[in-house]
Amino acid sequence: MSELIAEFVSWLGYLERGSVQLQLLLLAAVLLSLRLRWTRRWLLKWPRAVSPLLGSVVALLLSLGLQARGSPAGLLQFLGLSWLGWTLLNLLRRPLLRWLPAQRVDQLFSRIIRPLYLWLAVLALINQLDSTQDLAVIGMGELFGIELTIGKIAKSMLVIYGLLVASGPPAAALAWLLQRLIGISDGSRKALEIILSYTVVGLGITAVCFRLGLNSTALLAIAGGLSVGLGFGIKEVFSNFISGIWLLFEGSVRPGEVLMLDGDSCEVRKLGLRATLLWRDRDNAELLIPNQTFFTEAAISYTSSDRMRRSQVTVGAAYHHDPVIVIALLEATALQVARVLQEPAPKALLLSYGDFAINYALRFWIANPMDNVAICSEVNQAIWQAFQEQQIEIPFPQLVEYAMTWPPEARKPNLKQPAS
Amino acid sequence: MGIQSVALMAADQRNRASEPLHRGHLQRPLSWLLALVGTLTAGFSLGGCAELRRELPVVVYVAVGLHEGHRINRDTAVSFASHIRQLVHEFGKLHPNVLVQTALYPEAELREQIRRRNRSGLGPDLILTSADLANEFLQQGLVAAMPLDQEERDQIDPGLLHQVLDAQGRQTGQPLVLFTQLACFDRRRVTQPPTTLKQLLAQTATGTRVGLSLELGSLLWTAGSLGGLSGLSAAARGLQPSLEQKQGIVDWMHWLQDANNQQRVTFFNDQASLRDRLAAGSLDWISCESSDLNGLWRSMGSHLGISTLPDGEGQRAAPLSNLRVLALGRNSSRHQRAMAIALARYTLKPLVQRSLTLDNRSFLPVNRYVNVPVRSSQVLATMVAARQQGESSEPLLSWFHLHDPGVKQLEAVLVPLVFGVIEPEAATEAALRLLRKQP
Repeated sequence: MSELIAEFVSWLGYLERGSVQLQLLLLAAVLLSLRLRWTRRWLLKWPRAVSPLLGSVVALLLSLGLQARGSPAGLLQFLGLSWLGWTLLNLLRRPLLRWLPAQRVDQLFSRIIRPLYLWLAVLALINQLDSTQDLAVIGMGELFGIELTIGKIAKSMLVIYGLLVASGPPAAALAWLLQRLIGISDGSRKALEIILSYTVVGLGITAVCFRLGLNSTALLAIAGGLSVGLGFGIKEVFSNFISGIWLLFEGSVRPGEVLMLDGDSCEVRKLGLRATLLWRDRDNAELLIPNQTFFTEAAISYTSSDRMRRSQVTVGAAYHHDPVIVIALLEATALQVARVLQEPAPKALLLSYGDFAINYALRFWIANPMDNVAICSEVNQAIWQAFQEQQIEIPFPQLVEYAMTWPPEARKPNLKQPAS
Repeated sequence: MGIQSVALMAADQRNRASEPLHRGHLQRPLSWLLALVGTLTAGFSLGGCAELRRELPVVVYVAVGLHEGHRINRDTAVSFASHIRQLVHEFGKLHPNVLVQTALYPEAELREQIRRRNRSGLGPDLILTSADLANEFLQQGLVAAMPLDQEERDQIDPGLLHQVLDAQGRQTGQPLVLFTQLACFDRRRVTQPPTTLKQLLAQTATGTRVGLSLELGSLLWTAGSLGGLSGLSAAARGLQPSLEQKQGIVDWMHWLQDANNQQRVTFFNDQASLRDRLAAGSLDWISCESSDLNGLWRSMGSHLGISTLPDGEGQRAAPLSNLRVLALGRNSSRHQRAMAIALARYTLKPLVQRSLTLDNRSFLPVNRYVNVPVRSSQVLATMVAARQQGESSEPLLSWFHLHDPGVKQLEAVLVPLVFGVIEPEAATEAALRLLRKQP
């Protein structure tokens, strides 16, 4: 590590050179001038697509000026071009939004394009200052007798990052192909996609370890060490990871499933390494639930074997209405609501004799569990309309309010007043 | 040692593995960082204060070209850093505020790397490379002429000094060390190294496995042994070789083809393959460079034997010497330039040259006042013999520059010749045509 720091420190020696100072000062001047108020006002006059480019273009023009007078200008040119490239990259985002959803574009930029660009730019800058091949062989320590160099570590990390980021689309394509061939459900396809992705990442990490020179004994030793570490330090993370894998294989919690959580139905959006992402329709909230929650606690699923849900609304009718008529009316009403399934047929029941009304329940089936609340609302509205048309009263308790005095006997007029 | 460049400095090989590596001789990076930032900042703001400026640390950037066949790897870097550390440690006693930062490049990429770094003002202050490349670099304006006074010139072997003089009399670089071409063999398999090509082929018949490289630079010594060199040299100068000279070239070509027909003679694409195979025990005798010796010693230990390359019947072999020189960069600040020149001059001092030679034992000094102890070191004695062996052919080899595109074209003629695709006479005509086309 000290070698690496020494190398970075030695680069400061370039600052002694007048030509380097001049290039950096010019770049700093461009950057500072962009912060000035009048410059910002002036930039507002330019088209929005052009104004971000001006700083880098000015830096490049200055570098050309330096070059024309025979001074070294490559550093300023390089920094100007890198700046220009970065700005153009950001401008590229807008046209991409026409082709891809915003979330995809954001992922593409934040996970692949920008990190890749930065990586290449930093490498190119180091190549100006030093020999990257030489830097790559700087030692960073030993692991099981294998000397780890910066080059090896950087390459390994790059490969692993690439696998994590890029294994998704091929895994999705393969899962889609298998779905077409075998005819599995969408949920199974998504589960398969994640399992394939994990498999690719796992194999990739193993391959990287072998490429570094670790043999199977070393890998087993690492696994042993990790198991101790996992036992103490990150057991929760590991527990969540294993739970996630288990749930995928079990198929109980897969993307697309609908689960009940605290009385709300939620749709599984993504089964991650540590947590499951659920979407709650009620308030459009996204909930991150640790995987082991599903592993250790009971969960209610509406989509385990099919996606139908039996729903229920309750209503009260006055005592003077014949229950047979009310039940028939309720069942007929439910059938008229569009999103209530005809089969299995709705079923109305007399639940109990209440204080002021006979209580009925109307049970019906719906196709999408996530629509439960909305359909219940529609059914309730339809019942109100039907009762109105059939003059069936929905009674409600009435409250009579009167003033009280204390003691109440003092207000009774027929009571004789005691003799004094 | 696996690299020419490493010639820079000698190393105590036994201590290398245990020494921590500090590139660029920066022992306490964080304190240096603070010192550098502080002093540079102060230096910029008090630019006129000469006294303060004298105390500032000066970083001297050294770009090192690694000869083809030598890879940049951990061993090379560790070995090289060890040499630099040793040199700078001594130099630092005279100039305590100097830091040396080295960057290793494959020699094939050196030109482009220096060009690019120069364009940015980030070019190296010193470039350690071959004499050929230093000449090219000065011609292309990539380096500055090295100012050498008469006293320093007098110290350098005149033949070597001449190699780094351009047509205008400018010194393209300062000679540092000289690598020689040798024969390396496994003592367990070759008890008596061959002194002639005839003996070499005879030994292959008794089981010695011989490796030769198809790279022209590694193979040209055979042209000396077989009398083909004067003809090649004449053609390279644009002259028509005499019939006798031409016959010498044809004989050389015949020998190459015949050699490949021997069961135990194998041609390889590059010198690195020969070195690796000798170290691995799959070859018994190869032509090698003295820059390979340290690497081979590490692998083979006392089983490694070296000798001069086999002569011919009446003609001497023409081993190529590889002169490593220090050239001056173009982007240095005044202080960096002064320190770079001081460092270069320091390496020329007889005591330093002798110390480097004795510690390293893979190159010869360029200072003619340094007595090489040939009696106490068989290795150095062999290198001196190889140098003498090649001296007579040096004028004939002056046309040969490893980095000329023509060299690749000539190699492209040798490959089909060796594998019997074209006849020696046709190959001779093709080689002469190519040589005459050379500028």
